[in-house]
Amino acid sequence: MVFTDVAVVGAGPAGLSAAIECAEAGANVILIDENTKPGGQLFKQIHKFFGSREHHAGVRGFRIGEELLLRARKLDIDVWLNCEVCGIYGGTELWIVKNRRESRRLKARKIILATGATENAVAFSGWTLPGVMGAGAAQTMINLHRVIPGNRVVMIGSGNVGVIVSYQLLQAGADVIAVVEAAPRLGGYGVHTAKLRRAGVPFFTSHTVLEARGKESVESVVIVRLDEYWKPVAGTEKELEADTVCIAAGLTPLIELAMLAGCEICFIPSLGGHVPVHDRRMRTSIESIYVAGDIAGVEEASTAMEEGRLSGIHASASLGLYSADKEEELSHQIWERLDVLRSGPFGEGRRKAKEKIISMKSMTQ
Amino acid sequence: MKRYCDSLVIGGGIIGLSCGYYLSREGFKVQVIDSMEFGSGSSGACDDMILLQSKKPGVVLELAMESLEMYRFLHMELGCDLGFKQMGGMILIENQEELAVMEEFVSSQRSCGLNVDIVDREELRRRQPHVSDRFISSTYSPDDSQVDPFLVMKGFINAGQRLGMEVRYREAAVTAEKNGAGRWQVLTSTGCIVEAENVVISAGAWSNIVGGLFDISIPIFPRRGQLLITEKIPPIGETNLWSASYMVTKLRPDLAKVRENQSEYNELGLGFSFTRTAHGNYLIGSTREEQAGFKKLVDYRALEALSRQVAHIIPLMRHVHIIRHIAGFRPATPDGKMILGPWPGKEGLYVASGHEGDGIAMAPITGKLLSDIFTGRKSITNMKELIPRCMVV
Repeated sequence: MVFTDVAVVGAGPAGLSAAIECAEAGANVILIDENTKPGGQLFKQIHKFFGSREHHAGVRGFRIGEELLLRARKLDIDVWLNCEVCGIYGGTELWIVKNRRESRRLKARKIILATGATENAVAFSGWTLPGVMGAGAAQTMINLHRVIPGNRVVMIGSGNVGVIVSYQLLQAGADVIAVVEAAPRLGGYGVHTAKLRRAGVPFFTSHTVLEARGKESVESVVIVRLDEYWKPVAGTEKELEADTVCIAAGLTPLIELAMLAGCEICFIPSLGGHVPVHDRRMRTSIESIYVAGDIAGVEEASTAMEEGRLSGIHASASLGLYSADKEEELSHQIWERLDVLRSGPFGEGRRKAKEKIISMKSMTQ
Repeated sequence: MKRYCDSLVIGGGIIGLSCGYYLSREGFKVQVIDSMEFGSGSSGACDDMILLQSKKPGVVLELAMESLEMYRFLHMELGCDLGFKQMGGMILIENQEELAVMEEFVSSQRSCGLNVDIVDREELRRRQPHVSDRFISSTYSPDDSQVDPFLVMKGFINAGQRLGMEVRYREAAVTAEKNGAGRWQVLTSTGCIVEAENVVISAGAWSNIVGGLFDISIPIFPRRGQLLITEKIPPIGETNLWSASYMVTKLRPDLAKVRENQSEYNELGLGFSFTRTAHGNYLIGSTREEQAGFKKLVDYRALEALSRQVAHIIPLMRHVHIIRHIAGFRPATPDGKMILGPWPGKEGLYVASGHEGDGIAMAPITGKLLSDIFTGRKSITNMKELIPRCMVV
């Protein structure tokens, strides 16, 4: 059994930020990730981020990742890679499987869960054919592995992930032949959507994919118009020649470890579904367990980093590493930035949903 | 809002749904409510066995045999596949002491009509090539079977709904009282009042909590079990497996062998069961924990103990991945027998619960017996051992 002050599960933007805060406060931190490299989804984000300067506006995602890794390295944070956290017991103990064969146990005074989210699938006839994949998977292939998944792509979903990945697929040399959106309106930020429009990519609103056809892999895709009740309109089917279907239908928080630990869970559709109830300190219903990032409700990398810092500050303070005044001061600064990030037409709904979760927590206490 | 029915069943697990279905079949207007989701209680956290060999001769074994007969044809009656398979079962015997106890147990089961035998080392090897050499013999019964509890529950719901049964999840009973006409008025968490001639409590491990609403104390308590689930692998033996050491501990506690970490074993109540699901995953069980209350959590100690145990018995399993570790609650009674029948002194209140680890095996017969009691076909005097009884918990 290894002992540490804080164990952070997940080395994406939230987990890295949390670990850095804890280490800066003077805590012993172990940062655990199942992948071979830290950084989570940051290293495939080649586009520039939004927000103010503190939010790295105008900086590309992978640069932010490099910066976080450099800080973690300077602080000598112990990073356990290729380590899957498979069990969580009594609120303080982790069971970890390293390299899929070696069992390790870790006891931490505080645990921060920053496990992120997983892509939602859309089921249609032929959805298991090779060539159908998550948009995030396609993004990993082109931006990290430098492999193009196909030549003619149909993108399902016009939210930010859908339009950003579509544009990056174009940059990688693929042809995006359609962006299919079930809602009557497009979902992404104007600036990303406009880039695709200028490139001449056709958008099909109130449409969905009915079927992917092909023998060994996708050869064509049938799309269909939806009526006002989201039901397919017979006779409006169109068959498009394509070898790839990317699905950008939102994300679901990865809450298994929180559930396994016995954390109270609530259902907030606008944040991705089931999320652990948590307070303004990012603490769950179990005193020693904190959450940060998409596990606490799907948002963006910028909010994930702020939540990571918040959880790190409060976990450190609960270990006596900050005075109450200092804790309040640091927390206040982050909340101001979070409020900015959660403003505007896209952020407001998330802010309200977050407030709902936090009010639940105060009710249960 | 107010709803009316003949019988309100509280608890929508496999037992409550069976009761609901068989009562509907007799023409009663039935509503089933459950405070949780479909399959979120014990029926969704158990193994899938209809195990006859573990039953002590007497009413429990007799009813289990009758229930198995019902299962053979239930898919035709409910009109859907239930995943019923008769794989047979073997209880592994490690030494002469265990053999002596099991020989006696098997012969008493045979006298009750159970098709079970003791087989020698060669037959054990033939049927179970991967079981460790340390086992000297085993029992064998071709009758031990299994079903998919989820399919059985779905089957009862669909067939019941065709007969007018209504099933509502996420609706809890909150208060219960009788009106002037002697009919139950049950207020539920959705703000509904359900008026019913009869109420059946089939809330499994949670039955005593529901009993509280009716001012009765039902001697049923949760006994936690933890199970491991493996990845899908090809079959590695002909039948499902259990170990005699657990049976011997139950039958002859004085012979329980002294092991390392004895207190830990006792606390976990470790026993061995090894069954293959229709999908090819193996279920490795299990613990029997008294002290966990309603904490639906797993712990590392059980993970380690269950893994060590299976590797000790089937060395090949060292190379198989565990993909899940789950916990559930057996509805246990102090005397190990289910509670079935009208509650004395509470007209129109029935209990069908407390099956401990036998809920899946006993589901059809439980619903059938309850409907027989309702229609007067069966007098409860035939089932003295099961009728609600006062017991010291």
